[in-house]
Amino acid sequence: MGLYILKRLGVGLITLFLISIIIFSIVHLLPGDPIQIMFGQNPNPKLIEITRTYYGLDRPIIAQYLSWLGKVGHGDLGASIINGQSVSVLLLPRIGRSMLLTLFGILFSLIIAFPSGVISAYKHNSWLDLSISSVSLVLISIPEFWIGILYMMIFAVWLAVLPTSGFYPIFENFGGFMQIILLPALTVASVQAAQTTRMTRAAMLEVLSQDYITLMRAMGVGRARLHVVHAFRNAMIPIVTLVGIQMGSLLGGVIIVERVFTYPGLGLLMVKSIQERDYPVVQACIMVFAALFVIVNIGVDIIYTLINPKVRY
Amino acid sequence: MTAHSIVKNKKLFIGLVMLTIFLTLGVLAPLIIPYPYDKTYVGPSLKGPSPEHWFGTDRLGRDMFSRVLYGTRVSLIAAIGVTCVSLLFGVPLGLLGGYYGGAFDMALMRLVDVFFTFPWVLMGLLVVVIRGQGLESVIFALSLSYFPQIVRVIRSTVLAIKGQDFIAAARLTGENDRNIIFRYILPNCFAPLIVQTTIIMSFSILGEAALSYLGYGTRPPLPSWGILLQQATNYIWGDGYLVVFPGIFIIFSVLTFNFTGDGLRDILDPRYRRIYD
Repeated sequence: MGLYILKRLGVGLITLFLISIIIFSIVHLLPGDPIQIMFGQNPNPKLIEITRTYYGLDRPIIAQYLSWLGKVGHGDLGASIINGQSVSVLLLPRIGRSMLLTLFGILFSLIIAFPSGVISAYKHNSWLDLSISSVSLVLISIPEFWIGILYMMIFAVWLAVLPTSGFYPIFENFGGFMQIILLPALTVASVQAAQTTRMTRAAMLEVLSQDYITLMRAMGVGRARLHVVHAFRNAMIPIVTLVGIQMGSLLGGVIIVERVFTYPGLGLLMVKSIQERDYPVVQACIMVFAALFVIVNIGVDIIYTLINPKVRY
Repeated sequence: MTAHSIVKNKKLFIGLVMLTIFLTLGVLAPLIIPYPYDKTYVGPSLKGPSPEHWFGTDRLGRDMFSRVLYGTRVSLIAAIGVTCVSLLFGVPLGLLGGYYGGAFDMALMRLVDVFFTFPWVLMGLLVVVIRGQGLESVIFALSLSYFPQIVRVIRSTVLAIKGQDFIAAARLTGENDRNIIFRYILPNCFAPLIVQTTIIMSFSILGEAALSYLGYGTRPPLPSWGILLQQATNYIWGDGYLVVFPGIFIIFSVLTFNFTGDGLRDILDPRYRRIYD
């Protein structure tokens, strides 16, 4: 098991390295010159040249990549071209905020999805099952930003019980933070929960059709116990796999939801920086997203081996 | 798949009815819309739904009914574009990988896995960063994210088929690889492929709207539903109707493909029906 985790981490590192090369090359093919933007309409050619040398933009791209990689190794992600702020300082608090939003999103979605999926399978083909299935089918057909706007209209504008935007750090003002994160997290959770409910229901029905369940039923195990304890545990295996596959779309969803609620996370920064052609920031944001994505996938793989006794490494 | 089984399967029937409406609106949009979608001040600024302007007007007095309806066409173009590009790359790669296997297949599947799991929003932003904003960039980015699904479906079908007796028989009669792939294997991939296509279409509509909403998708003045919703967010304090209609159209069109896909799967794959209904 330890060896497997090590191997998985190694592959993850190589993946990240490859992604970093791709992203570095792509970002440097960006149309538009940030240095031009920096100095406005009538720039001094001499000044542009000096600045370009200062940022190392005049050197060959491979040299630029290697020096960038070396600095990243030391935790130095460069400085924003727009306002000169250190990218690491800019990014660090935002990584935490985006991760909190992702975590709360997953948490809420599981709290909604597991019970409704299990109930749906338990009351298979009843009106309750039918309504849960219908609601989740409609929910997966709705873009998350529309749900976000609707939540904002309902809870922030009409009922005026929650703020539309703003931010409080979690450790300084927990109540304020929860008020801020509630709607974005619920938005992320709504679409996720719909998908996970469908999966849970399908996985439960699949497990329930197996022979050992029939055997246990014959042995007199109660129906509720059979569903919740025995079937659900085995249904978890395909669910975890599918939730893992969804992580990509979940991270994407977080970017969009941050934009809807102007939640000051990584996604909002990235969307803004692309507009400003702020190379170092865009590059760092995409790198961090890719890293999060690789790490989450490793995590899912490890959880998968832990809960599935059939997989041995 | 007979006419009888289509009518009997409610989901597929509803899906096909909705699909007909969606296609009609998309294709005939320029003929149906009462005002040009980008003409300003055809009505008062920010007025709610009325007999003259069914979905109201936006700040510049443009007719929202015309804009939302024309958005159907933008979505349709995105859905068809992404599907075509995904099929163009996905089908040959899946056939080759599944049929020949070996190192090529290994490398292909690793690559496909990376594209499959990489967040599509990031892919969209990356492509916009490289190619610039526009509907073509959206189609390109979403195709990169969704062609892996085609590769996977085709490959797994090929793997399941290529060991069967009729393939061995074909080989014994002296058919070459090309004939075996195109005349014996490809026709059998049709059923799972068409189901997957409907899924990609519904994802493309959502993806196009989302990227346009972020401001990196379709270019204004072309009225993508995403752009309409982006503009509507400035008016949620008084003019909620601007938010409602584009959203309903998105849900309708995505549900169209979800119903059609679910229904087709029920008919084409009996195993699935047994487990999931």
